[in-house]
Amino acid sequence: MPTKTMGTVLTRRGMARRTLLKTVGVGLGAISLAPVISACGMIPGMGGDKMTIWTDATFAPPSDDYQTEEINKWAKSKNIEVEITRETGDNVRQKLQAAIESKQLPDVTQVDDGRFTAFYPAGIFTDHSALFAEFGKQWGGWYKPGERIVTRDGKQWMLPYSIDSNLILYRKDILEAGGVKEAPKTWDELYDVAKKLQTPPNIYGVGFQFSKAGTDAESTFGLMMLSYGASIVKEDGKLGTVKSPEMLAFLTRIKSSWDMGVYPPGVTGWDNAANNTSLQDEKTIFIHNPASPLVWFRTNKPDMLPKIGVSAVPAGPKGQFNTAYIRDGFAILNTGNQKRMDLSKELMRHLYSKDVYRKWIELAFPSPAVAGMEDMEIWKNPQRKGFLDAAKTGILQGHPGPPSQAYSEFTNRQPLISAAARMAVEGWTAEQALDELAKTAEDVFSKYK
Amino acid sequence: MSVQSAVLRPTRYRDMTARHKEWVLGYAMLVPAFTFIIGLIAYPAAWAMYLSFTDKVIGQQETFVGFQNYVWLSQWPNFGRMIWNTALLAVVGVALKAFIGMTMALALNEQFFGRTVIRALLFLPWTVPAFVAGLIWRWMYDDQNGLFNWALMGMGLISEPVSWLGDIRYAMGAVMSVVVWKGFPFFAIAFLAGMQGIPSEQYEAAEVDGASAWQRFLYITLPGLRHVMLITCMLSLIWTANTFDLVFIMTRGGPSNATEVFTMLIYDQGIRNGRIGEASTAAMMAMPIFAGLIIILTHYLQDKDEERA
Repeated sequence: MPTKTMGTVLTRRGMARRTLLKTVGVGLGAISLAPVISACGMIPGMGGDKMTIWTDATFAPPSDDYQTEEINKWAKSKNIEVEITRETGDNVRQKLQAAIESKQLPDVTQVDDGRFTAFYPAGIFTDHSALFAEFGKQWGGWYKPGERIVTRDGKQWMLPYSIDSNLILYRKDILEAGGVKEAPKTWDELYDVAKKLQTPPNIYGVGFQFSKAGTDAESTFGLMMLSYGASIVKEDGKLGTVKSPEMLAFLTRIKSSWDMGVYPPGVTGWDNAANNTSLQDEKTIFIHNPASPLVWFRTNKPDMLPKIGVSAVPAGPKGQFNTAYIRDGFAILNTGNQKRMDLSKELMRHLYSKDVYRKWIELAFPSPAVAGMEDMEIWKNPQRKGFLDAAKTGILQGHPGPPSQAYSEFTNRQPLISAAARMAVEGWTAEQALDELAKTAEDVFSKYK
Repeated sequence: MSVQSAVLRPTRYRDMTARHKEWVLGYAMLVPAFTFIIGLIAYPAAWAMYLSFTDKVIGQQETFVGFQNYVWLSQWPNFGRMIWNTALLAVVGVALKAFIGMTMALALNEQFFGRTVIRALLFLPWTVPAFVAGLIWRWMYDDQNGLFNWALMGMGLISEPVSWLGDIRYAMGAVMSVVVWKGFPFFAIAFLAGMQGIPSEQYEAAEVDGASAWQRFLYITLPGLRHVMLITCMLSLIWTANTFDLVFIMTRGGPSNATEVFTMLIYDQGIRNGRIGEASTAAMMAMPIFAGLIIILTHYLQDKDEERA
């Protein structure tokens, strides 16, 4: 009989049923409690004094290492424990999403303007106005783009640390050898020079991605769109007239540039690093990017560095635009633990102190968010000065409206790259691409009415 | 003590009959499994289903929107393309994996020098993490510095780089090749294990009767492997239809939408845009297909158990 067998086995082998049941009970209890116990370290008010800091891994590792070193130095001076994680911006974004839902926020997180705009409605950011005013006074004011991004309802909700911009990086040596003395001022000039000077398959003219894996090109095409007088939104940030003659002219320009054969054939599959690589491997003449390739050249091909030119984004028939966005910034999050929030403010004072901030800017590639560093030697280098100028005057995502969650979601869908890819890969006409662009815009913005 | 209170007194474990004690013990032993099934499968699935009927965005309170997300998704511009791509990747991918896996298993079932080493090497693609495999293959297919273009240009077979991942004609094939490369060892190992279970006497008898190698394969090997083949194909169909990492790393769904699969939409809406409600809807819409496959598989496995009993 099974009953007898089971009972006999359990009893004879030394574990009575009662003991077994107790063991099972204790085991289950421990399993149930394990997550609770481990979560206690992260729940506000239950985790002691250990501070959690989430930071971004950038394209300039020396600046990351320096920042980590300074945070550790500060923690040691305060005799507190800190846990610093450093991951790509995308990973930090995903971790933040989970942290928001589980209400297990870090004390401090690095934030760019995309993350700030996306998570602001979740109410996780604390009022940073006092610190913002303090650091502004200390550094002779903030650059306007950063200030505009972090200010909502007259208060500041995070602290910008660096402002970045995407400019045209080009092979100055090839232009000079081809008798072109200045960087192209308009899109038409840029494509004509690219066509004239390229020597495919060794060197192609233009390295803009026509692929959703390459987010840089969404900004490139966005600026081109504005320079053709087209826009997605109105000045109040609401959806504007997408189907306009200007938008059609812009899309037609993209299509005609594709037909010119100035792009490497692989741009339809390029990821976000491929445009950097193409310049670094000396395979394209023009790319639109932040300064990260310059950092790469400095370390890996110093001889090539002087051959790289930096210029403003070309103008279209209706104007010229450079972009500005917060690449690095800090936010003290609403964890409910006042002691750690106060400590976080002290950490911010350390990171914004004169020596630490200036040294970090020297090692990193973007421009500072504050005005008081224009005396630094690095800005005498014309390659970097262009980025500083753009940081002061660049337009924000969502132009001509203010930065908004709706526009952020719209660009996350990479609709301009999609339109370009439809025309390049699938042979769509500009009119077809315009139809789809308008539908995407309507779909996204209808959720925010 | 009254009769009534004596009757209502809670039964103590030691007062139970042996049969009752066995029931209690049996149920107690099921508790851990039930806890995990409910906590890790049933609850998340039910929660995802609920979220698919809401407008949930990360960090914001959700509101019930009925079937609005389902209507929205069915009108998604690339909805048909996504389903087609997912089905193509799953069906053709599994067919190729099964074919290559069978070929490898047949070869490795023979006696030859170095068989053990080759069997071990066969497992390699299966053990490489998808992320690493994706990056390696992406580099090999790269149009600028990729191995394939370098080799083909070096041999003079092409005059300019081919955009394997950026050309609509090749992209799906490139992704498929990696899916197959990564997955065929599972088939080969499963088939090889199945072949060990076929009695050698059957082959010997067939050989005596003058059956050719093809006939032995057709009438002994294939019928002997049919259970293994069905289970392997079903499992692989479910896994391949859920492929995300390889597609994400290699093409991100491009060029244009040529390799966009269902899981990409879930990622874009859920992770990039924080629209958990819409992402859950995409996941839920794929669920009936997977549930159907799982039901067939479970049904089949149960039948097989009964057959053995």
